[in-house]
Amino acid sequence: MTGEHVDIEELSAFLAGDLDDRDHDAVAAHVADCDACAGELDGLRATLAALASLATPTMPEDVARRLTQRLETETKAKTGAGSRGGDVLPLVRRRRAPLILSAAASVLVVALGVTFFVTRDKPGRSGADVTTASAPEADVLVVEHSGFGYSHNEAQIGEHVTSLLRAPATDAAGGSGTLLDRGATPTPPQDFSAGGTGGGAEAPVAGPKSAKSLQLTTMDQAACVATTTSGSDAKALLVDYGFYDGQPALIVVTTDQNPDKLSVFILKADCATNPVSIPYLVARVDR
Amino acid sequence: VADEQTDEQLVARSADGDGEAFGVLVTRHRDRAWAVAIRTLGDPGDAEDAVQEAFLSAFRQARSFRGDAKFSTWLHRIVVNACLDRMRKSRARPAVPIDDAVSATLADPHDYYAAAETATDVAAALARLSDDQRLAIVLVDLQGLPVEEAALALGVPTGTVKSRCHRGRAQLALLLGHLRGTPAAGEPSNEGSTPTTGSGT
Repeated sequence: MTGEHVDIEELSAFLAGDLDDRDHDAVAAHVADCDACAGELDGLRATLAALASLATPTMPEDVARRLTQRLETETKAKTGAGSRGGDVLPLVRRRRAPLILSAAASVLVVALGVTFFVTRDKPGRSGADVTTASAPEADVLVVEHSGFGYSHNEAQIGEHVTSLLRAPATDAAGGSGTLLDRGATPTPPQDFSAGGTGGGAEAPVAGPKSAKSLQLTTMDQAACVATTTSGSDAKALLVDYGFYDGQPALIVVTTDQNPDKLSVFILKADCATNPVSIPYLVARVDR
Repeated sequence: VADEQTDEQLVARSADGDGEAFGVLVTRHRDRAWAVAIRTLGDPGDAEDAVQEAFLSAFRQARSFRGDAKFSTWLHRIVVNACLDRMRKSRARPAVPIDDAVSATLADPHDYYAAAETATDVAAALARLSDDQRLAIVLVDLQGLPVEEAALALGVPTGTVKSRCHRGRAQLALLLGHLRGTPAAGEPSNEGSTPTTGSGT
């Protein structure tokens, strides 16, 4: 290691005990002989000490008072709404009501019959199970598998989700403006190992090889999706299986308080099993 | 009565719309939430907004709390998300005051080895980190969360938390002038530093 100074991040890892024995010993040996790196190590220690010496801020009284006031207002609103079957109940119902799977197991009527899970990522036959959709206004939840790589880029997100939402209407002539029956391949698991940030609205065909990384059942989807609209009268319009920051993610698009906008939430792909999975509002985009 | 209940009991009552139970939770956890928000966001107005949004969100989502995580971890995650949301919204705003504060701190090379930084210096340096690094440092080094809990709160693997912490600490050391390498304020420290003794004079 002579002549090669230790990277300062590695010194930090060394201090934290994050290096394996071999690397740890190598760094220790180098630092013992190298004044420059020993100096950096001291500098890092001083930095950690400076961080540790910061007093923990406590919430100022006026901030605490306003917080309490706002919460009191909102919790009253919630209680009132709940008693008249308003804002709160949809989540309860969605989570507790049994989900009814159609014979085709792909068109799913959630709870009160107001929300459909629809897959339309591959052409289906038309037939008795086909229902007309007029997304995005209808009480229809479209499920897509675009594999799109979502990021903080609001414009890009907006373009992508609106294109997905518009797809049924624009494709109506070709017959995909309907809710499709997936026939013999009910709820295919999503192959997220196929990687990255590919493709736009064109969905990969999910084959039976499928992935270990994400096997949500439709029941789990419903519970996950419901967390994005709980406590509000927003409606979920679209679920897209894609990526966020390179990680498999469920993207849920809902109506917004502003009728001209849509809310776009990111949910971890393991939403249904992750105890601390919270929908993250990544963007508000124009409809 | 509510005061003696555990967080988990209180959050269960909150899920049924019990505002009083939730109020107890808020009182217990508001300083923690505030500390994360003010250290992450820097601006008291932004921090207040984020904390309000976070607690409202927690109340609305109380039903989605599952008992297999600690309430504080779950709440941290909500606060982190509220902060991220706030940062995204205010990203367009130039961070001029912070820049000024940092250059003032770093302008004088004779201060490099000053024994104690003021809290303001450290806060200003923190503000220069990337959002990801700052959040990791805030949770692990300032809030004292174990890396595993910080990982849950951030929704990333533990290895990611560690590497963000190491990069963030390295960057802070540069910004605070704890390293003899010339601090290139604001430059990413990906290449670490090549110590060049005496360059500071």
